[in-house]
Amino acid sequence: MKALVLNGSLEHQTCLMPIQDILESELSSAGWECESLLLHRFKVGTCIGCFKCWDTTPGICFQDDQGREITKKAINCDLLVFLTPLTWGGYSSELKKAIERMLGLLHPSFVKIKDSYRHKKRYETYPSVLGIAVAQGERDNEWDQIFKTLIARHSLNWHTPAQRAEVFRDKNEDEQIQKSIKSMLAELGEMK
Amino acid sequence: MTGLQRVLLLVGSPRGKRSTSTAVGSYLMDLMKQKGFEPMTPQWIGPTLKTQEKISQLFEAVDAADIIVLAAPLYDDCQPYIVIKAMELIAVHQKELAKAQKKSDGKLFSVIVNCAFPEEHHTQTVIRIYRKFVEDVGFHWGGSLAIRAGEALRGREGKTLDDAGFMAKKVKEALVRRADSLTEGSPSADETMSVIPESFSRGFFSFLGSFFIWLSNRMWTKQAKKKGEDVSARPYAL
Repeated sequence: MKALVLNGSLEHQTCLMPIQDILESELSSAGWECESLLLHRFKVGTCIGCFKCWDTTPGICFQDDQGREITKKAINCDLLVFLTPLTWGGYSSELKKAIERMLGLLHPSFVKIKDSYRHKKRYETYPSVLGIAVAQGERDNEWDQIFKTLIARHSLNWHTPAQRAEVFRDKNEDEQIQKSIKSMLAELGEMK
Repeated sequence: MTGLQRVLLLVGSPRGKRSTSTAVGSYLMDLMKQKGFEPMTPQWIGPTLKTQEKISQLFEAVDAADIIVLAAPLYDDCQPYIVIKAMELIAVHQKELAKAQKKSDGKLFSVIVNCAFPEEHHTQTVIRIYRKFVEDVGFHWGGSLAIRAGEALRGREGKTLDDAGFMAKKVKEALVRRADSLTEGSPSADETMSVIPESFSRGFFSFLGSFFIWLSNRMWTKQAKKKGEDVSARPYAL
């Protein structure tokens, strides 16, 4: 079982590293093979919305950079972790840049599932998603709710078998974070 | 009319000028000009982020504007990367201004979201994110317009709303309402509308919606085939 952690810290931001360490340790204890990528250190171009990954080189972005490697790793793991500074309830720019380059993992065609249109699957299976955000300073709880909704919605469009999301405060104790991560990993395992 | 005068269009489509965001945003700017407002030079966020000099120009434009209108597509249930990046930069800039006590009050920030999907729920999360951004940086919420099934406007082919003919009729009406409320300086409501009739998504005429989807799906298959490719290829399957 492989887990891929996409760390969306902005340059000079260090608040996610302690959580990445806890996450890696918990994944390892639970028997996962884990790889973490600090995204801002990778050369990933910006999606320009050209849709060539749908009609010209289906499934592959025309930009030949590390965005392709990350995409390949993402579709071939069992658990994809979005680790991000909480950004008004959403993803950081660094994380979103990498996510956008994964557009080709979906099929361009639409399919109606439970009264809602989504893109069809390109692949047989997709990884489960664990969204972890870190809020710096005092933030209103609505930011947390937005993040959880975003992960749920994004996962639906991604056809993920299971998803969980949590927001931690930078002042949270390590033990509290560890306990929460352990519990979410267990739930994800049961949901799959 | 209130004291609000200068209106800045930020285009957050990674497709740049050939985009539905440009088509819709430009139409709104024309309406506001007719009402005596002064549209500033639009900023296409993608190219703007490429140099520090252009980022500084973006800050200057934001500082000088009385009303900011962001027109951007929905990518993966939220803002495109370039928009998040611009928001992060603007937030830092606004906080620096606040520290230096140079921040101006009363700036309205309005959003137009273009979504390919026809259902309403797809755009709700991103509107909440934009609202939180506005609160956090000290702007005032100027309302939002979520345009669903926006692909039908064919903005990515470089079409303007006038080129789009009857398909753009309801969007134009919604933009007139948006221009009215923004020029009155009143925080306008959040509105959502579909380019294709709602009845195509559900109800008796839903077969027509299914037919349009079938046509669109067929187009992707044909386009890939024309290039000698299989639209359903799985290049990263191990």
